[in-house]
Amino acid sequence: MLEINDLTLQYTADFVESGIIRVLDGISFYLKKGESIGIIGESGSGKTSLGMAVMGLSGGEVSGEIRFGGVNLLDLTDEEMRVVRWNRISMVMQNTGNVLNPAYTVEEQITEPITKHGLDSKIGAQERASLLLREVGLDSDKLNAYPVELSGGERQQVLIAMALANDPELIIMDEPTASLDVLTRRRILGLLDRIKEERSLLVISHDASTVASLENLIVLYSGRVMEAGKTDLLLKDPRHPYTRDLLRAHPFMDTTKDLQGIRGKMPTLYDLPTGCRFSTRCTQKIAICEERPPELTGCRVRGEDGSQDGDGGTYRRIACHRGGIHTLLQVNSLNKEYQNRSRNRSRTVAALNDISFELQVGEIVALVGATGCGKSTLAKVVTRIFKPDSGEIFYDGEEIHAIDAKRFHKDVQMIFQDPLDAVNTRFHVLKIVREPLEIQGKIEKQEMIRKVKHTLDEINLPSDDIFLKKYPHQLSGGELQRVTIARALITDPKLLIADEPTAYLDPSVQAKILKLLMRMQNTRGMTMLFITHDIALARKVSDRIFVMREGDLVEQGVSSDVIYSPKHVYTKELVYGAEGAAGYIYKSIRS
Amino acid sequence: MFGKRLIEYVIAFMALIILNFVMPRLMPGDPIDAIYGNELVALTPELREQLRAQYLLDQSIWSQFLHYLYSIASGDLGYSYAGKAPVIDIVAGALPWTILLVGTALFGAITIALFLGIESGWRRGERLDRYLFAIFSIINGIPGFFIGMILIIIFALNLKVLPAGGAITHYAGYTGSEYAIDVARHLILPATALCVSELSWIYLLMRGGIISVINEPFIKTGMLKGLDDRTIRYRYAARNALLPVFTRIGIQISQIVAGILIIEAVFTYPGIGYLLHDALLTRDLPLIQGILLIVTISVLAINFTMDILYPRIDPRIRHV
Repeated sequence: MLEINDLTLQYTADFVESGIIRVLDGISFYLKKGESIGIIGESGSGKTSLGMAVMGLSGGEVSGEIRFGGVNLLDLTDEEMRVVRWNRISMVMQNTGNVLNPAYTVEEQITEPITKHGLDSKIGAQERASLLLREVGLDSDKLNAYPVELSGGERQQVLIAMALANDPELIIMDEPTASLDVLTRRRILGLLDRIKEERSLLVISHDASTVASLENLIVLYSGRVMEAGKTDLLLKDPRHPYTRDLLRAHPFMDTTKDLQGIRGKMPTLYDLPTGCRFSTRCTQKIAICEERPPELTGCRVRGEDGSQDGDGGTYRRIACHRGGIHTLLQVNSLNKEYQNRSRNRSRTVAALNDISFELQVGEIVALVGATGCGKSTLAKVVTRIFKPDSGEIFYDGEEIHAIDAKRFHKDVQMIFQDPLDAVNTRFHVLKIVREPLEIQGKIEKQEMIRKVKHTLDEINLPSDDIFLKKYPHQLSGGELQRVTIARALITDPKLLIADEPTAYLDPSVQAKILKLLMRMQNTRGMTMLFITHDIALARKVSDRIFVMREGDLVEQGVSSDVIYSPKHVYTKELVYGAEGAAGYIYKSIRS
Repeated sequence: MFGKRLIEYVIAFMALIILNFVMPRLMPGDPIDAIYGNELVALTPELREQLRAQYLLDQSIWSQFLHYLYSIASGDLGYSYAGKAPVIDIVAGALPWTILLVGTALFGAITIALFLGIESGWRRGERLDRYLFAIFSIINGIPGFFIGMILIIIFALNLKVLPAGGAITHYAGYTGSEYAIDVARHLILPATALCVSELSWIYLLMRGGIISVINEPFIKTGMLKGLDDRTIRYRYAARNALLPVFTRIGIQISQIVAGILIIEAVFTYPGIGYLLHDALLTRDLPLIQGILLIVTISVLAINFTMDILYPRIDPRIRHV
C-alpha cells in the first residue's frame, strides 16, 4: 500500500560548502495493507522528516517515489495532496506542548477535519468526535476541554482520536510514547495495538520498546537505512553494529549490563562521512567503510527456532560492508588435557573439552565458572600462551598460530588475575607500560613516553615523572592493576582478555576498575572476554555470558537470558546460589 | 477571578478620585488665586471670604471630600468660568466627537493592521511583506501630529478637497444626509492621521506575532489535517498570534488617548483633546480637572473591558 523507493530529501543551505543538506538518502521500504512498521533511530536521524515527506510537508527537495495505493504522491498537486491528508493518511505529531491549537476545544479540533473535508455535518462530526474520544479511552466531557486543560497522556489520546477522525487507511505516529509515564505509555501502546488491527501503522520512535509489537522495523541512521527486518527477530538478534549499539543503550526491563551510550557523535548532516554514515562510530570499520556507503542488501538470519529463513535470505536487510556484526574470534572444538601425576599413577584431566564459541566485534563476553573449570586455560590457549591438543582458533579469519607473533600480540592483549605475577617487579612503571611498545618494534623514545603518559591519563593514573619511576611494591593493588591495564591497552588491542582482573581488590576499587574497563572498551570499541567466577559481577558487565564447568562450555547466551532464564542445571545453580548469597547478606544487614 | 479583578479596578478608581481631589489642594498658594488668578484683577477680602465659603474651603478636609464625592456622584464636576457653563456640560458636548473620531480611527486601524499584519507575516520575506514592512516601519517613526500636518497641507491647503479643521461647517444649517456628509468630510483627515499612526505599530505587532507562531507545532498539525491555507492562516496562526497584540493594545490605550489629544489640537477638532488644549491655555482649572477625571475613568473602563474579554480570546488565561 505504501511503497517508498529511493526517497531522498535535501534542503538548500548557503552556510554549507556544498550548498545542500541531505536529510534522507535513498530510503526504500514498503508497507502492505494492514501491516505495521516501526522506524527507530537516534534524534536527528531523519525519522520525523520521513513522516513529513510522506505527508508532503517536509519542504525541501524530495526525489524518488512515495507510492500510496499505486499513486506516486510526489506527482500530486498541492490541492490533490490536501485531499490525501487526513482522509487517507493522517499523522500524529510528536506530543509537545503546542501540538494542538491552544485556542480551540478538543471537540472543535477533532470535528474540524471532518467538516472541512466535507465528510459530515457539524452535528454528525460532533457525534463522531465523542465516539472517538471514548474509543481512545477518554471521557466525552473532555470534548469541551481546551488543550491546556489536558495532561500529557490525555493530549496524546486526543491526538490519536483526531488522527482517526477521517478514517484514514494509514496513520503515521511520531514518538507516540515519548515523555509519558509507564502506565500511560502502556495504555497508549494498547491503543496502538487495537488501531493496527484495522489499519496500517507507521510508528516513528527513538524507543525500541514502543515499536516492539509492530511487524516490521527499520533502523535509520543519519538519513540512511542501516537495517530492516521483522521486528521481533531484529530486536533479538541485531545484525548491524549500529542497531546493536542502539539497543544496548536502551534500558529494557531485563537489561542487566550497565547502560552505555554509543561512542562518538552522529555526524552533522552538512558534514557527512563519504563512506558508511556509521563509520565514524563503528568498532569494526575497514578501509572500504570510509570510501563509499554500503548498499542495503539482504542477509540470512536465524529465525526464532534457529532455522535459516526461507525467503532466500532477503528477510533481513542490512547496509554494512562487512555483512553485519563481524566475528572477531572463532573457536572450533578446542581440546586440552593435563596429566595429573600423583605417586606413580597419572590421570588425565580434561581442562578444555570440545569448546566452540564466537566473539563478535565490540562486545563484552563474560566467561563464568568455578575455580579450576578451565577458564584460565582457555584464556591462555586463546592468547597462544598454551597450545591446544586439538581444535582451531581463528582471529579475524586467520588461524592464530599462522599469524606473526608481533602482529597477534599487538591485537590481542591480556590482563591477569594477580598483577604482581604479571609484572617484573624490578621494572618501574614507565618500563612496565612501555614494554609492549618496545617489543612491537622501533619507536622513538619521546613518542613512547608520550604514549605511556597518554594511556596513564586515560585510565586516571598520575603520569608525572615521580609516578613513572615508582616500582610495583610502592603501588597499591588497585594502582598496580591499573598499570597492567595500561600496559595491555598501550598497543591499542582489538581483543582484550581479562582474567579475574579484580579478584584481589576490595569492592570499591573493583567497581572503579570495572567502570574503567567498560569505558575503555566502549571508547576504543574493543572486544573483551571477561573471565570471572562471580556471576553477579558478570551480569553487570557483559553483553553475553558463557558458563563453563569442568572443561565443558555448558551454556552461552545473551546476559539477560542467562540470568533470568538459565537453561543448564549448573547455570541455575550459579544464578540461584548467587541470589541466595545476596539474600543472606541483605538479611544480615537488615537485622 | 472576575470579582478579584473588579475589586482591583474599584481600588484604582478610588485612588484616582482621591488623587483628583488632593492634587489641586497640594498646589502652592491660595486656591482662590489659582482659580481666579487671571479673571479678577482685584479681590476684596469680603469677596474672597464669600468665595471661600462658596467653594467650602472654610470647612474641614473630610467634609470637603465628602462633598466632592457627592458632587461627582450627582454629575457635578464644577463650573468653568472660561466656558461659562458647568464642566459636565462642556465635557458632554465634546465627548461624542472624540468617541466618533477614536471609534472610526481605531476601528480602521485595527482591522487594516490585523489584516495586513497577518497576510504580511504569513508571507514573510516575500515581496508584499518586504514592501509593507518597509513602509510601516518608516511611518511608525513619524509622530501622529506630523502626519496630520502633512495631510492638512496636501488635502486642505493645496488640493482644497477637505476641510482643514473643525467637526462641522458652522452656520451652514445642514440637516439630514447633508449634515452626515459634512461630519464625515470633517472626520476624514483627523481620523486618517490617527488611524495611520496607530495602524503602523499594530501592523508591526501583528506581523511579529504571526512570525512567532508560524513555526509552532500546531501550525504543522493544521497542515497535516489537510486544511486549506486560509483556515490555517486565520484559525491557527492569527487566532493565536492575536493574544499578545490584544494585550499590547490594552496597555497602549493611554498612549492612544494622548495621541488623540494632540491630533484634535492639530485639527481643531472639538473633542476632549481640543477642549483640554483650550483649558490649558486659559488655565481653566475646574475644566482641566473634569477632563482628566473623565479621560482617566475612560481609560480605566476600557482596560477593565479588555480584562473581561481577554479570557474569551485566550482560553489559557483562565487557568493562570
